[in-house]
Amino acid sequence: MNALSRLEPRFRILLGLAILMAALPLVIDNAFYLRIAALVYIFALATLGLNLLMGFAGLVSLGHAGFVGIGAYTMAVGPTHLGWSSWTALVAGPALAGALAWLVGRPILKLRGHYFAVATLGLGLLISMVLNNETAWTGGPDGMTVPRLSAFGWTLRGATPWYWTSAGVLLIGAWVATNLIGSPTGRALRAIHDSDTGAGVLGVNVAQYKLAVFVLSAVFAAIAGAMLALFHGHITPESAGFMRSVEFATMAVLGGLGSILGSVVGTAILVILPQALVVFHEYEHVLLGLLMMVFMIFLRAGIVPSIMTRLGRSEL
Amino acid sequence: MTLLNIKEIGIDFGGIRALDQVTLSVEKGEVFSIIGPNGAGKTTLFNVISGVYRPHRGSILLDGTEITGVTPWRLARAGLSRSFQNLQIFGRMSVLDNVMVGRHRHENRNMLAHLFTLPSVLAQNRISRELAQHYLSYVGLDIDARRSAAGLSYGELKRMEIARALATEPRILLLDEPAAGCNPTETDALCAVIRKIADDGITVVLIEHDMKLVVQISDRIHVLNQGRTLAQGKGAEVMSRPEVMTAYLGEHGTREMLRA
Repeated sequence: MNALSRLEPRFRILLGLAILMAALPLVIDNAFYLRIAALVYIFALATLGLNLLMGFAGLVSLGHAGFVGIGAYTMAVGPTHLGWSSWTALVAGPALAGALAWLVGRPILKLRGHYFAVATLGLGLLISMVLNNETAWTGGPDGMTVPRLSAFGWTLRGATPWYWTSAGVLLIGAWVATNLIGSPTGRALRAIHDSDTGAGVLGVNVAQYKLAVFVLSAVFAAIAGAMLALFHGHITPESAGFMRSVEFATMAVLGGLGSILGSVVGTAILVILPQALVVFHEYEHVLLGLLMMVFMIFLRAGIVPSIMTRLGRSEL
Repeated sequence: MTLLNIKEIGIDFGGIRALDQVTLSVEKGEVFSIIGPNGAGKTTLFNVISGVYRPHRGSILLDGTEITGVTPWRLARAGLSRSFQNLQIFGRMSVLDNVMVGRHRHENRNMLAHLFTLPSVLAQNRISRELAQHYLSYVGLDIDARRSAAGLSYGELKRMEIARALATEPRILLLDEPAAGCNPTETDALCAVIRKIADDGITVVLIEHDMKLVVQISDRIHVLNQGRTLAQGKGAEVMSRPEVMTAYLGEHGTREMLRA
């Protein structure tokens, strides 16, 4: 107990998340549910990256699914057309997404205002258009098959291995994000969110930090995309579409901006709820929208931060 | 020795000359006050010096180096920091974190090390935390530093901003109306803090409306009116000059003052 209370609050949350992940298969020992949980973890990684951008630097990206698409399609195009091994593609996708974010972000992030949201919106649409139209490379709207990942004669497939793999990767992502927030970079980012003028006169290179966190969030998204492609074994342009980008932003806002646990909770709700509401048939979307409105009215800061505040605790 | 040299600075806002031909120099280690009626261009001058605005005419030298139009973060790293009249607080951060951001220019900024929290980062955080505590007590802010900055009173926020600027270890510190909104006791305490800062070798440039504070603390006073230099000199003598009185009180007020 003593060791636990000495742990900083944010690392306590990380520990709680790990315990929850380890305990969940004991309760839901069913391949279908395990696959849904794995899907939640994979999407949560992308949401987490976006939340670093939105919740800490205060920048909204409306094209984040584009980076997910880059990660996903590299897993398919690399081995199929370029003869890469899946492992090479697994590294190349996130690297490519990061490089693209850097190229696009560099000129825009020197400007203030809504330029960034609009530019990412355009970028996302552009990526999705390329994936839809370059049929020779991407298979067009039908998508393409993704070869499975294997090492030493073992292939990653099946509900249980995927559950643990996705849980492990998300936990590493959450750990990295937690580290970042508690570091000088994290303080600089949070300062920028509240006042970039204030941060500037203290020696914080505002444009550089915005760019760095944008690149980082793109890398997170592309890793999630690569995992998504491997998980399904098939990928379509829908996974990089505009609606998906909006979903990621919604997940982050719903769970709580600037909250690591909130990224996971928000994702879980938006992935699980539509499955649960299927029984209502055509009213599914109505109910989903209604529930989200109720959440945002009563838990305005997002689910996790609102509950934390009510319990008189802070996540940071 | 001259630390800050401002030569014939001018800036226009849509045809209005906000600053025109302002020339002044600040000596190392002094408390230099800029006063003037509302709209005289005091804060605009601060914004020009600290790189928030780029001047249209003239040049600024910091310790002999040209800094005209240099961005605020570069100036901060060169040892020039400031506070704001309308406060630029990081409201969602704790008081301690606010001041720790001030340590930014002295911290290791290797992001890869931050992502994996290498032991060096932890050591760094500890040092920054201790120094932030030090600067908070330096400005006399003895409160629970883990509190959210948003919960502080106006006077406390003013002092927190000074602590934050001091944490950058500046050579020159620009304070924009630090005593605004403070009660007399707080103003006296603030006066002592500013004196201490100057005694510790940090040059202070001050904008202030509290004339008692200005006269008490300043080595030299520079008076601006409608974007131009009106007078410059030492202490109470500057204030009693007719042209300065006229700027503040108008012709009629000055006659009344002189008669009284």
